[in-house]
Amino acid sequence: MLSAWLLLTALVHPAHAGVPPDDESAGKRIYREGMLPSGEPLRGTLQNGVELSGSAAACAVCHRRSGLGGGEGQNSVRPIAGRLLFAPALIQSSSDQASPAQASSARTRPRYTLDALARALRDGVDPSGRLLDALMPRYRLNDDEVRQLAAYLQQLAPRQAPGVTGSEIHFATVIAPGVKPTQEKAMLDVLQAFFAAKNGGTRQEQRRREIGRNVTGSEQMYRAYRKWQLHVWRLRGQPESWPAQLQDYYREQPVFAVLSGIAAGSWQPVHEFCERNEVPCLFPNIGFPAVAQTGYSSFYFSRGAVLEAEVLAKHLAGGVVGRDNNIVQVFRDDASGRAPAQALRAALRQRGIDTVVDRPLSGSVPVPESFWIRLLDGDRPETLILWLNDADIAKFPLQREVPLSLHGLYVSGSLVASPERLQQVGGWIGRVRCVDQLEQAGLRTQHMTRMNTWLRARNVLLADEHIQANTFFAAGIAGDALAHMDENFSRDYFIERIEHMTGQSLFHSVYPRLSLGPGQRFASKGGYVTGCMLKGGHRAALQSNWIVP
Amino acid sequence: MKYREVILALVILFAGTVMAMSAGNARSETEHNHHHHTMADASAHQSSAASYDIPDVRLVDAGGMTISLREVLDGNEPVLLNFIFTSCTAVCPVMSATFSQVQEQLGDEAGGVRMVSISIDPENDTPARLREYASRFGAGPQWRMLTGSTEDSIAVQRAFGAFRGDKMNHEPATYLHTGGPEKSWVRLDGLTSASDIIKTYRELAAH
Repeated sequence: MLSAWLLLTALVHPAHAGVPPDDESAGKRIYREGMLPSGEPLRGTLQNGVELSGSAAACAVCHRRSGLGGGEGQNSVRPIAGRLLFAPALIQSSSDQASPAQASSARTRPRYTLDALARALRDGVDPSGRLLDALMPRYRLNDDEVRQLAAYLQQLAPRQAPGVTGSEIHFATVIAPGVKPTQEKAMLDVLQAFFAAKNGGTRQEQRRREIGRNVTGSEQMYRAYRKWQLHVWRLRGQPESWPAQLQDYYREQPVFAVLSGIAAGSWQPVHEFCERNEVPCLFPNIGFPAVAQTGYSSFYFSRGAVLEAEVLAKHLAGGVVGRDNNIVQVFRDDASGRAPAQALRAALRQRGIDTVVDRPLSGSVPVPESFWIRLLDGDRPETLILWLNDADIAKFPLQREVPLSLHGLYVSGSLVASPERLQQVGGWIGRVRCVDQLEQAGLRTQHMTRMNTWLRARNVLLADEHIQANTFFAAGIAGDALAHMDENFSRDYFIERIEHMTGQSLFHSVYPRLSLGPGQRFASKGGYVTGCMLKGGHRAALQSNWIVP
Repeated sequence: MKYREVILALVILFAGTVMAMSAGNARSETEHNHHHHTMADASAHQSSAASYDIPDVRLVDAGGMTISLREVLDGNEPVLLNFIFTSCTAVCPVMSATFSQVQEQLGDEAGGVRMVSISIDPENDTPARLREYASRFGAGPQWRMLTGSTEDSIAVQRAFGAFRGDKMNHEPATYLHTGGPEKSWVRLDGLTSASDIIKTYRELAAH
């Protein structure tokens, strides 16, 4: 009883009011949130006189969570993580670069002491007496606050992250139950080929590192080299049991990041695992990303069917239907079915259309033809939207005469894998539409050429273009990001590199354009309304431009 | 008309030279560790005159309204324009804080100035995100945030010589226009201070 009470107070204690937080956590709030221990906002003044305060003045705004900086345009932001700040550094500042005479004159900046840090923060002068960049504010910080900030900087971006050893870097991929063996193989083939190529291309680096040390007396070159190791985390049973399985895998072999992954249904437990452990999880092959709130560690190609719902709402409200249109939507009454249905309803309401009738399907029984006939005759929809998969719409009576009232039947491009099976005959021709997020067929074939050639050269079966392209992208962007990081194996920095590089990647996914920025986690942001894929792989004309809701 | 343009160009050239000189001085002084001059290295920016052909594009404002950029920029009130994106970490928050300060320092006069911030990440910067961003910087009704299609945003950036291939490569610049039929703009490159923007604005307004 007493021990339980002790445990309880121990848990409650850190949050207890009046207890001073330790230096590191006080420093963390200054750094990330721009909040002083007093509860007052952090304040700073830029050299041009502009005042910043609170979250806008926080160090993380420019130096980012990693403390390794970066830059935009010509303004470079210096790394300030402890091991780099409290040691001498070779500096090539952006103001130096502005003057051609000094362009090649890199200089050594002495190590920061606590006093030097205070001077840099308050007066904008570095330990060698130079002015810091015009973007660096002069902060109003007292000695205690400077010490707290220093304590936080000290432990930022340690050299070694989980999953990284002196010679190896470990990655995992996640396979949820219920995925078709062919799809699972399509993904694993690409990852294994990529890892083999990565390690093959750098297999001499270990030796070069040794030679480099002998010849130059330093490990400057090749020291960032690590052998890539892939671990396949197979999940079993119900999603409720996945968190424990993931945690077991992770305990057994910590990984730096999760690359790609595949699931037929929910991904939520994997998302939560990634967020809880701050493991970067890159671009899984899934239909139902966790979209309720944007995470920090989890990156997705798109918001899935929810994005399609918003694209469709904008399309419909943009002159396709009127305010009194009889819109009926059918969906499975579970989390992944309700999400797009709710998104469509909300997005249409926002645009002044509030006539949506919901027809949720409970249970998992197949949908008989009689259901569709009852729906078409009873509800007499003018616009019918199906948030359903191939199996659910298999019995849709496309061979029956089109009800006079029906103007458009819309299906989800991400839920229906084989839209060509919606054979459009008779009056249905031109009435069936797909809400599609993918690159249109012609361009897509061009963009896939590089990957297909690469895979063929490695004897990888071209089994599923969608999965393989997306997996290739996930592995490729991870490789590019790591190549930029040198030996700074910080997950925050990895995430910041991916935010920067996704829009510029030479790897193509099946999405027409991918782009991220600081804090952005869904890379493709729009979709098309199309005439659906027809028999023989031909696609009917686009019914809309690229729509970004 | 011609005469006015020549005078304008001279004023700008002169101002630009003075600024470049003072920036150069500040730099050489810091070389010699003259710390008491640290605050003198205010905004090291460059000023130039240019004529821009505004593309005929429709953009979308923070209220979700589709508008013609040419119509936004036509009219007799002076224009202050910059390019931003809402998830930008280093440069844009400073440029937006500067615009916010310009708005504050102009006081009642701000109502007669059109401030325009155009997103260079339009797919992410939805009208809702622009509204949130505008309120973060206390933007008044005379300060419009605009988004649109990627193609149109790029066309506008190209027209203003501001396109750098990717949003992460963008560089700070402020554009001033007197309003009226005058085609000429003044471009301030770099992190310009609010007072320098206002000073340039007043010089322009005096012509």
